[in-house]
This record gives sequence, structure tokens and C-alpha cells, in this order.
Amino acid sequence: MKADKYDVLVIGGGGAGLRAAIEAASAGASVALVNKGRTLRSGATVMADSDLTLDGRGLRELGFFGEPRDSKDKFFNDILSQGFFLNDQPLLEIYVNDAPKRVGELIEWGLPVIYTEERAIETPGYEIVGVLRRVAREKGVNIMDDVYITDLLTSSGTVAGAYGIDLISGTGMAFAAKSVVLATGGWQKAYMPNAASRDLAGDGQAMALRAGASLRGAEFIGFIPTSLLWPKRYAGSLFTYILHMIVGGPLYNSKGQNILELYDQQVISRAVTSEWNKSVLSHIIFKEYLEGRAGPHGGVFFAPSERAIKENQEAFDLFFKGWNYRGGDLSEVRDMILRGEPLEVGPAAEYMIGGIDADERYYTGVPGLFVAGECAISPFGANRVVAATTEMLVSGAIAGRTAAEHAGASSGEALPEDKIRKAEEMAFGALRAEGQAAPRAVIEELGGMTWRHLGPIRDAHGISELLNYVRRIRRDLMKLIGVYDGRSYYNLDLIEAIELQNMLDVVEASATSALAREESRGAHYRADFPMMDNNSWLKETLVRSSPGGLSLSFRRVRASRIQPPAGVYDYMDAVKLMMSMRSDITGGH
Amino acid sequence: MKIKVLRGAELVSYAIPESTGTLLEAFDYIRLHHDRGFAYYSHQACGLGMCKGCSVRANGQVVLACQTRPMDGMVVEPSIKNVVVDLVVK
Repeated sequence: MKADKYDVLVIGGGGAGLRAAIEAASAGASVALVNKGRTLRSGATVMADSDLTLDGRGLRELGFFGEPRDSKDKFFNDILSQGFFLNDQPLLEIYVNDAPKRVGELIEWGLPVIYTEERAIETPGYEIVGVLRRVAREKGVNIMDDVYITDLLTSSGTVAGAYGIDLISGTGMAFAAKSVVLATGGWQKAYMPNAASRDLAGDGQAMALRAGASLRGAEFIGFIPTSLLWPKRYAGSLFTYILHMIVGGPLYNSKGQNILELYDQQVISRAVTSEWNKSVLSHIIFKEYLEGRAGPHGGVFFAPSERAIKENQEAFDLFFKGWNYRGGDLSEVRDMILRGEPLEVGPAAEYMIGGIDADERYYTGVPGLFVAGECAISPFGANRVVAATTEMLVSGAIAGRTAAEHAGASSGEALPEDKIRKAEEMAFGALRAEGQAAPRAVIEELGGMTWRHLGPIRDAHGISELLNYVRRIRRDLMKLIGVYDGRSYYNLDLIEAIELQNMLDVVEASATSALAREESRGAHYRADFPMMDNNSWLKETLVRSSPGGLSLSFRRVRASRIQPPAGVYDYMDAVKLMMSMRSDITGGH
Repeated sequence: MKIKVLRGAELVSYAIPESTGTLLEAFDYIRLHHDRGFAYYSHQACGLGMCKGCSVRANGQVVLACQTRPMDGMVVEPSIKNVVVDLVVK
């Protein structure tokens, strides 16, 4: 098979991939970017209601309103304390330092700004992708849409390219590249409900594991606490999450109790008005589900009144003018609100805080392989409270630069024919599956299992059940599923069969990490280990593939600047302590 | 209820549940319960009206499948003439 040859191959067409491609092309590399969907129509970034975060002073220096008393030190401190001190501090330092540069250049390139607050710029994610795509094209990046990369190609331990399916023609494609950047986003598709588009299936994480890289902190998964769960067409929508931040109000369980009154009011008042909602509210809502006080779809009830919306019309209109949310028609849910019908809301998988292990140059340790954005390890520790859209720009630019440098110093490995044949067999092999079940049906079943056992609250029993399920399904997958074999182009069964295999690998890795972390911290709460233990657990999990299955190890968290407080704390006391360690800067971040 | 879908040269009628909220849900149902080979551009769909990737023609109007409620007898066609397969266009 003849392969297209590039210095740098970027996999993923969201903000991280585009930013990496721009940087690599600017450094003189020949760059191709392959996207599973169509750029500007796919990936996580286009759906983000992004608030690009940076320190308030940096924001003012860009010419916008920002908090003048803010500083990079305070910003660093606040991300660290709200990350429960599990943040990789060298990566966090890079995030804080590079954020103003990355956001500033985006504005120079023409990004529109809706409004700014203490530490953030509000702008829809599709605007970010639009600007980045234009610049990437100007820099000569070859963007290829609807190409699903199914595996990395390696040659004696070095990543030498990738193999994929052109979804429109159905043909296999091999790419030879001196450097490969994975920028494939998260694996939210393995959760039902989730707040993401259908393409985020952990492809990058699974390919990285197969190539010999590790996943770090894979037990930390962020949830949107109050996403709309019903009607089905809105499942996972952020409408109710944003609306609750605007109008506030009680959240009732099925017994009619306002669950917000059951906890420390200092914690709750901070939690409902800031990004703290993601960990704290997800935790307390999921507790209602586990203890049998949830609604029919596993959530609690939010009953925003028409009057409360009118009183906050300006803020409401900023997001939902005319009962339309970025092209999504909200009239059905408007009618429910006008009728006084409560809305059922609950946690939907939003953001993978952990990811593919990398160093400060976003190098994975596997020669030729670099990572950026959500699929990479984040600087957010155990709980994310600042923008992932800023993170994707920061890590994207670095990964692109490192990849170009590596390509410049490398002569390039030849693609071994046997590896290409193996990748081809893996990509199309599911067409010969012998079972009956639709891959999509199995994905939905997996999603329910994952939400139940690897949600905001976990325990050893549930995680083990999930692990047994995943291993059982995977062992006989080709006897379980059946795949439509009438054509290889735009075959949704085939796409989902490949995604399912990747998700099973990544869920196993995440569950293995979650089972190993016998404490509670940030987005990871173990009902059987409810304390945050800073004496024993200031370490990160690392999972990699080995011949006998996954192997797990730990690494002490890199606390290069600020030493975490010692001691063992009840989870809610830990939340309170982390809140108290925040600087004097107000606002959502 | 039943909707009719143009597949190649043929208009095929499919029964879907009354409770189906959107055409995208209807397509998922058809694929799972009637024909696993049925194709509609959805492998990256956001399902919430944001990505604009699921355009089809419903009773002659170009709409987003995820934002359109199916009606009995509705005729669904590809949004443009350049068809890859079924409702997927280039």
C-alpha cells in the first residue's frame, strides 16, 4: 500500500489538533490533519460554551475587563487548591503562563468576544474552531475530513504513522509521519448520558495504550451535574446547567426534599455559583440516585419559574434568546416550564480530566508520539474549574512545536507492510463478526454500566462488576456483535464496532485506576473510602498495556511550587478546606 | 407512525414508535430495528442542533434531523443531490 508522507500527522480536528497543526506548520513542517468528522461540525470544541480562562491581569493586558487584583500566582493557587492538590504543577505552571499568549493570538486572528468576566472570555467554541481552521489552512495544513484513524503504525517501538478508513470511499489509508500528534478528545460516548457529540469514543487513548503509552489519572472524570435528562431529545443538554447558574433555586429529590438544604450552606452557596458545581453538585445528586430518591431517569428536579427567568432576562438571552440554544430548539422544554412542570436534571459525562501521560513538551515517552487537548493528561488535578478550551490551545501549541522539532531531527521510519496489513485487518475485521447484537446497543448498555459504576460516586463492588462486564464483553465481542457487511463506506455499524473496542479498552483502564485509588478526592469519590488522604494518596495512577493485561503503577504528584497540606479529611471537609485556600478573587473560576 | 425515506431510487416506508422525538431518533430506530445498513450522517452528531451535521430534506424543506419532530407520512430525502449513500451527502 502506498502511504501519504508527512513530517507531522495530527489526529483530531477540534481546537487542540488545529492549534498543534498551526504550530507545526509554522515551524516549517509538512502537516496533515485527519478528522473523524467534518471540521467545524465535529469534535468537542464546537459544542463548548467556552469561557477561555486566564488570570485577570493578563485579561486586562489584552484590553478587556478583568480582575485587576488577580495575578498568575493567585490563578495558579486557585486551580491547584480547587484541583485538590493532585495537579501536575509543572504542567499547571505552563497553563497559567501560556494562557494569555494563546488567548491573545486567537483574538488577533479574529476571535469574537461576547463578554468577559474576572478571569474569563466568553465565546462559543465553534468560533474558536472557525478561526483556527482558517489559520491552519493559511499555513498550508492539509485538512482531511471524514477519515477515521483506527490505529497507529509503529516500527521497532517508534510511531511511524497511522492507518485509517476514509469513511466516504470506504478505502483504507496509510499515513507515514515522522511525528504523530493525538488530539482526539475524550471518551464520553462510553457514558449514557453524556454531554458530548457521538464521535468522542476514546480512540486516541486506546491507540496510545496499544502503542505503549500510559494513561495517567484516568479515574478522574468530570460531570455536568444538572444536565437535562428528559425529554430524550435533550438528554445531556447543558441548558438546565446554565439556567440553574442564572436563576438558582432548589433541587428536589423524589421525596420532595430540597437536597441543597441537606449540606453545609457555605459549601453549597459557593458550589451553586461557581465551577465547584461540577464536583459538589454531581456528588450530592448522584447520592440521591444511589439511595433511591431520584426521579425516573436518575436525576433530581429543578423547577425554574417563568418569573425568575424574566427577572434574569438579560443573562438568559445571552445564551437562550428566543428559547434557542445555539441552534437547538428549546420550545418543548419552554412549554414544560410554562406549565410549571419540573425538569429532571442529573450528571452527564463532560470532561476527561486524566489522559495520555506526557511530559512538559507533551511527549508521551513513545518515540514519535505527542498529545494535546483533552486526550492528554490535564493540569487540573482531581477537579477541573478552569477552561479546557484554554488548555487545548496551550498543549496544542507545545505538542505541535515538539512534534515539528522531532520530525526535523528524524529521518523517518519506513512503514512495515506487515504492520499495515495488521492495521487493515483490525479496521475492517469487525465486518466478519458472527453475532447478532448491534454495536450501538452494546454501547448503550456499556454507557448505563459506566454511569452507574464509574460515575461521581464509586465503590470496589461496583467497579469490579464493571470490570468483569467489560472483560467478558471484550473476550467474545465478535461472537456477541453482528456488523452490517454490505459495504465498507459510511457503515455506521462498522464505525461503532471499532469505537466499542476502543471504549472497552479505555473503560477498563479508567476503572482499574478508580479501583486502585482507595480514597476520595475531587471528581473521584469512593463510598468505601470516603476520606481524602493527603498522607498516602498524593500520587497519580498510571496504567499501561502489558502482555498479561493492564499494569498499574503510581507516581508521586509533582509539587514543584506549593506543598499540599498534610492530613486525612472527610470529603466534604476537604471541599471546604480547598474552598478556604482559594485567593480573594471572586467569580466562577 | 410511518415515515418514508428515500434510499437510492426507492422511497421506503418504515414504522417508528409514536413517542419518537426527532428524526435523528427515528433514524437510529430504523437502523437498530429495520435495517442495520441504513446510513445517515451521524457518527459525529451532537444531537442538540449545534453541529449542523445532520441536514436532511423533510417534506421538501432542508432541516436538521435532530431538531425535527417526525410526523406520520413524512417524506425524508438527502439534503442535496450529491449522495454517498442513503441520506449521507458529500
